[in-house]
Amino acid sequence: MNDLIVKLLLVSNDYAVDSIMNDVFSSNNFELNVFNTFFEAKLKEKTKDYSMIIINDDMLSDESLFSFVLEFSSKYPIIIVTDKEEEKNIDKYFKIGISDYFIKPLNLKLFWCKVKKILDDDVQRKKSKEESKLLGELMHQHKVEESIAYYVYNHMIGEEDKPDFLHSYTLSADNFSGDIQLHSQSPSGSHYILLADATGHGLAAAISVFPLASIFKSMISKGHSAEMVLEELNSKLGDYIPPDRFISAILIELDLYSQQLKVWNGGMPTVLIYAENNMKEKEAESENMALGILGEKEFDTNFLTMPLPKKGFLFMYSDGLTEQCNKVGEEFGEQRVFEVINKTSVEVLVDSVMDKSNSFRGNMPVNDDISICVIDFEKI
Amino acid sequence: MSDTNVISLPDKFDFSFHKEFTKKYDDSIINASVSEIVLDFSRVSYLDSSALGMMVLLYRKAQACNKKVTVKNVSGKTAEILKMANFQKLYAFE
Repeated sequence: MNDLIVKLLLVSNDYAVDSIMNDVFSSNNFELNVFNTFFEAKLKEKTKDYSMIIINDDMLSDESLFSFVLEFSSKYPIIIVTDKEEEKNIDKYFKIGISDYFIKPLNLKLFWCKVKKILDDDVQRKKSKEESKLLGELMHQHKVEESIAYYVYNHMIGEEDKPDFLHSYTLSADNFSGDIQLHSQSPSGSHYILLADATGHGLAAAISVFPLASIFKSMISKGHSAEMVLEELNSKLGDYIPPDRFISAILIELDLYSQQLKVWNGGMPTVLIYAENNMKEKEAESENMALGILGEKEFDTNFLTMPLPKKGFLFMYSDGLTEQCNKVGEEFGEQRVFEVINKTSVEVLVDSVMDKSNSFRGNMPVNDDISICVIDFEKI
Repeated sequence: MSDTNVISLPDKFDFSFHKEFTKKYDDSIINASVSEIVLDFSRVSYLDSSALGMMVLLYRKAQACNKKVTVKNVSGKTAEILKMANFQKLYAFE
């Protein structure tokens, strides 16, 4: 209990009890208002914020006591002081919410200790109720803000119509994904595919990919080269996102004019290029730093360049796929990915890998955003 | 004479180590007599992207004060992750 005045309401018409109560609560911290009838008590209750109601029921009818307790027990701690010892009576009043029941003559020490404990508990209960209400309001506010963020996210990054040669899927670990897959076609007809994975997951990671999406789409549509797009992304992300954040990425250019395939890998799992018989033909390991870390001079835009295959496919993914754990803590790993690739046709490859991943994960939560992207060369 | 600050990293190097990690290198960044900060990975069996982010931040702060940052005793899966992230471009590896 704190130092504020604690207001107590006593309903009693036994002067002996009134006197005892006045003695018990004689300290400066208490204000005891005594009323002889429930009617008077109800009128007074409307004007003051009481901490507890004490009822001395000897002179009061059982019916009026019951209805009074029923009305006020959800609002205040109520204790009954009585000479009625019947178990049935005691049980009845506890069932409708009284905090304690004292048989006269009172053990004043025990009475005082219990009253103090009830008042302290009630203060804590009210505090918890207020905190719970505040938490509810904050949760609601969070949901509203999240829905606004989700709207912006969907309009900036949301999926557009993909070309037929591109099969992709992203499974988010949260409402927002820190993984992003973008496709854009330049005025010269070249296709650019960007698979990026921002540090972490959820809204914090998704915010980091906002600038990436707008810069990528804008620069490709203006016909800038892949090298220039990477330099701009690296520079702008270095400025926009916090210094302990970065974005790993793979940028693919399908140059239809010169029939070249260009792959840039910065901090992502190895890009796999397969021939038509599902035989691995080439790999593009991560040989570059992720975007947003290095300065302009240190940043490298060297691409792996090779003739654009007529058949076969390219397979790329984010590390969330291979690092997903099952219930015994084992990681999905690269080998399981290779096994699916070796026996699956390109049309159903993304679905097959995700089926295998989901079945491996079982009921475990998604640890990190998972992205898979397949380019079917034959359909370009 | 210059000093080296060796930071021993935990078995699980992730965001839960953020506060302690920052505390362990903060003094060395300010202290002019410390010329090298070494991250000892001998106990690390797991690291995530937030750990890589912490390492990038340390690299940036150390670079601003002309201090060398080194990684030592890294192996297994942890070494693969650091290699994929090309952290040899930021840190010296021993």
